[in-house]
Amino acid sequence: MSARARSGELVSLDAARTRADERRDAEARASDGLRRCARGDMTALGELFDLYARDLTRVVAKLLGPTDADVDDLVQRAFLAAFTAAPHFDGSRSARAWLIGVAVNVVRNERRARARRSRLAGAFGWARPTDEDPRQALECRSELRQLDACLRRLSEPLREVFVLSQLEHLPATAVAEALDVPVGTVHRRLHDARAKLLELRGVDA
Amino acid sequence: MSTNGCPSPIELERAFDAADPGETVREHLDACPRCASRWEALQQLADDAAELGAVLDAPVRDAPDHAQARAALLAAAGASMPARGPRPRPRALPVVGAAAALLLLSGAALAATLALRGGGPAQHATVTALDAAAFAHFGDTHDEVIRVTQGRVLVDVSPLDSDERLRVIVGESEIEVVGTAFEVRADRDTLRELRVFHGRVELREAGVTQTFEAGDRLTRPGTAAPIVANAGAPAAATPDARGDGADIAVQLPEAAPAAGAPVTATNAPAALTAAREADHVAAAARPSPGRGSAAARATAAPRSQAVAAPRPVREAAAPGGAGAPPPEPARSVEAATAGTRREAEPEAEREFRAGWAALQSGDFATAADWFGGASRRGAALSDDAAFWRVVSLARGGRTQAAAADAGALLARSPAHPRAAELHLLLGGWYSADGRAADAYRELSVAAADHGDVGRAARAALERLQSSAGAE
Repeated sequence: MSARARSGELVSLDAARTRADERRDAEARASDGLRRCARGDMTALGELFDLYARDLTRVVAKLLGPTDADVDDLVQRAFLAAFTAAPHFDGSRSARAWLIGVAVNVVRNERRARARRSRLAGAFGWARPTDEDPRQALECRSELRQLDACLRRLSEPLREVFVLSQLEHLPATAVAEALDVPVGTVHRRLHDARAKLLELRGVDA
Repeated sequence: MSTNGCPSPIELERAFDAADPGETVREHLDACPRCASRWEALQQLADDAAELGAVLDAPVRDAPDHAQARAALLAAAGASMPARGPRPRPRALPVVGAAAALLLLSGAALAATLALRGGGPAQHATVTALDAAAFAHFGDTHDEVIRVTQGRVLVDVSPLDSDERLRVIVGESEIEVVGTAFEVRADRDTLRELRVFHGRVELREAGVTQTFEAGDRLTRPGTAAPIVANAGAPAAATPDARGDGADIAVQLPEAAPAAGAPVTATNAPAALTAAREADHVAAAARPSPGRGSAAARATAAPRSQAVAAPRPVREAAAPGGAGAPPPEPARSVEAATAGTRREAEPEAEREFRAGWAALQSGDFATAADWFGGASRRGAALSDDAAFWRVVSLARGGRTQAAAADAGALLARSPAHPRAAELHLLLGGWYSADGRAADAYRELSVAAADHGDVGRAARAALERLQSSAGAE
């Protein structure tokens, strides 16, 4: 191995260590922030927002659709819900995973509310199209558009696991913590999601 | 491995998900085209998912957006904070009069306020939202902060000790409480007016500190005033001025709920805000009692550096000493009109709230009656009440009556904040009735909306056109 390659490896190793340190530091601050939120400290809520607003925005956007007008609103709702539920955070789970779980629940509730509204709108004689997501960014790639369409045909539990695991690249343990299910359940749902997606894509399983 | 030597699909996936699938699996994949094909399909799926994840990632937020979202979050959290603990000390009685006078001046109905107690156990201020205000209240007595972003709140402050501080922050402006009563008006997170009734306050902007005493008044034009250049460190609060209790009315004009806003419980108080806003505008239209000499002192910056600083204007001293609020000016025509309308406000507000409660409880007929009553009062919230009457009638299944009311409301108030929703509702009802031309007309108007309502209208129009084509 050349010195240059070794040097590159060392640099990337250092970078990985730095990232890991940053993650640990963020996790410690988030855990502390949630404990302070439980005491009603709103500066802690602001710090949590600074730490994880982008993460939660990504998760919500992927579950709901990036062009959905309500993404920011749902992210705010997720943080408010976390602030309210902070006394229930016992520190046994990762704070980030716990926050992602709160966001997933918020999206889940929003989907159900939309479904109810959609049924009500149907009673007026027209479908409410606000649930439709144009996802114009996907127009350029038919495979991605197809995968996106297939994802939306998955059941909610399978879609959540697949999105968190394969689109958001969370490890199975973190997905399990976020969704508050055993790791085995995550593996099973991921397998079922893949099988369904491959079937929908016409791949012989 | 299964009996044919192939790993089960779950085993194959575990190997796929592992950092290293292992030598055994690799050898098997080389030998088994079926498993190799599935492995390749899994790889393709993972690659596409990763690419989809990258495409779907929300655009990176820039700093202003993040700051704005953060402020909105804290304000929403503050507004939803439940009551906590008793106030540490009773407020000073003499200042109660000033607070009451402020409320009278603004024409607000105290009985109709939403009381939201904020703050932890060791805070001096009790914050009461006078409308659908958004604020955050945090910190402790050593550095207590009230951040107001929207609406009007009454801040009731118990006496401060010399090592304690309390600040009210609106946008880039920071007001240090130094034992006083004062009124703040803001427009879109920008300080527009500061009136000091009692004691003194320090206003800090970009490092420049100005002190205002009783009778001083700072006014700014309607457009956002630039913040002055940094000209030194802010002056310290004056310890000897502390010790008096204080009542502060923070008054921020707020627009009516935006068109297309979701139907939430907060909309009702916001509608009441619109009513009070009309009073605020009427009060602002009253003639000024006159201008005196500028009395504010820049304690940190030389005048030459504070080129963009607002020029404070002191009102004429109020009879009865510095502790009293300014005198009520002679009533103008606008004020008289507002006064007449104010007489209808409490009753209209009461009916509006009753309608809202009935609507939330699912008693749509009663809700429609209450909203109808509130609407007929002719008060400032008349149009909002009329809108919710339409909603109540529709939810109660009385679509014909709802359509008639919606049509009347649009004829009376074509620029109603919820006009697009009304047109959309009418379009839907006409469509269901087979009145395609009327439906087309209403939906076309609603389609001009840029939000959800517009999208719904455009989709409904497409369906209407396609069904017409099919026939």
